[in-house]
Amino acid sequence: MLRVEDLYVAYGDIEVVHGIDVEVAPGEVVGIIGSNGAGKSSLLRAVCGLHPARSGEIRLAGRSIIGDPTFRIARAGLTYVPAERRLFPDMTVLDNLLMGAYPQRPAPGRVDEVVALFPRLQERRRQAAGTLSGGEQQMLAIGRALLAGPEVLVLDEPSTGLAPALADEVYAALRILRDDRDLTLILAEQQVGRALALVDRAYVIEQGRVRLQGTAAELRDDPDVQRAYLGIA
Amino acid sequence: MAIVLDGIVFGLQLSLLAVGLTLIYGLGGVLNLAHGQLVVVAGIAGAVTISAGAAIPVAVVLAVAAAAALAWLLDATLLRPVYRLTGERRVLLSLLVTLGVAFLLDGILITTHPFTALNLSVPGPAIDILGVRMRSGSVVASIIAVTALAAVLAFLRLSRFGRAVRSVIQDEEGAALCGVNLPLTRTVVFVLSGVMAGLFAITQGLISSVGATSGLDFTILALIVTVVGGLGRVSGALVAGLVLGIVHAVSSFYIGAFVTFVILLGVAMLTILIRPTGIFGGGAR
Repeated sequence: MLRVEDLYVAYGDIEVVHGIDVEVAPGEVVGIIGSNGAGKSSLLRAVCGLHPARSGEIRLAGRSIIGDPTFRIARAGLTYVPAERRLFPDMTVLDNLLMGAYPQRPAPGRVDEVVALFPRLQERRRQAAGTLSGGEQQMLAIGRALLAGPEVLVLDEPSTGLAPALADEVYAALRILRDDRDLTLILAEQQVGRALALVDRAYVIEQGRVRLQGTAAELRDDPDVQRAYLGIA
Repeated sequence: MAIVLDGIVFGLQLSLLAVGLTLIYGLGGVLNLAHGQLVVVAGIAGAVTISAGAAIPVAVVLAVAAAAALAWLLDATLLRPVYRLTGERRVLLSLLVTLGVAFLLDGILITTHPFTALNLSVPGPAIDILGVRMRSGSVVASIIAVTALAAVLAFLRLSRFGRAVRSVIQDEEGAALCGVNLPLTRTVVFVLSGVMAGLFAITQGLISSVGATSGLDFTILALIVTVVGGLGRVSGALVAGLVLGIVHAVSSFYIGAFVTFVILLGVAMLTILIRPTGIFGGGAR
């Protein structure tokens, strides 16, 4: 579904991603894990066209999307939810959701389906997005992305800045999405334990390179992963 | 009462003038210092068409089209490199580029059409409104302004594309992630601002006149309204236009037209000091 080959990303003279390969099959749930500053976000921002790649290839459903503007990649079916969420603060929750479906009108009942996944949003439909709590904003950001009807949903640090209880709530919704086999899910996360409990497979990114990859179970049992990310001595 | 009504008439024109400027700024961080010249180009185009013997409606359409076409040309050429920058650098480069365009257009128009001015007089008697006799030109100008402003507001509030425009104003990256074509959105809004500038030239032609040297005045007026209303806030520009229109009328009548500009600038300065995000300013845009 998504294939990243030998991708290099730089900010000015500073290269932050040094030749990463990632492959995600349709319907798969894949984690991109690693600590803060490992290059996860740089990788994902290049994938969705927010930052140009220096070299490499990115294919979505077989078609090269490298160099395409973000809006075109979004319309091609890859929707990115950045860690900063990028909501429209003065617009209502409902308007934010409707923007997710842009340029189309959402299919009838689709808004209700998404809101059913995040009941907190239901009560706040007419409220400005900027007045929501951090957890609600994260839910709205994911909800807005779902309204695009993406084939590939890319989530960057959905638990960042959230109290554990709210992060649990977000992850409960992600578990429901995981079971939707039409949706390919890519999840970048530094809370590695949380991520490995959700994904089928993951890539461990360190200093801009893929250090390890494997199924969630393999990585959970890996002594290096346990020591570096799971706090197990 | 007559002064207040005069102020409202002028205020509506100010809102019409400022809405385009504030939309472009909100959308892309471009402060178009050639906005007044768009008005002048429309005015001269209208005047030239009329003196060539065309009917008034033809001249009106051509005038508005000229401003819209110029706005489109600006967006398609000189502003392309501006949009490649982000943040403060984009604002700065936009100031330099549009100021250059303003000087260039001023130079061309003042040398080629030094004595051309758009004057549209509406025949018919003065009309009685709230016991005040209004010139029919003022009434027609106000109707044009109200209609155009209502159309823009309806477009922004009710249409899907309008919602996309608002989303870009609030978060450019978020909008792109939702599939909004940023360059296309900017082009459409820039052309829209040209149309609004063209309509302002028409209403101004109905009330007084638009000549080759008026560009800078119009830009400054638009800038003041935009600052008082809050940069990038359309509803702010509407209210600020009306408020400043009344201030303008009152101070022109009691103090004198010469000082009025200073007073309007003073209002803008006070706004920046007291409410940096405009009279409606909350926290973030």
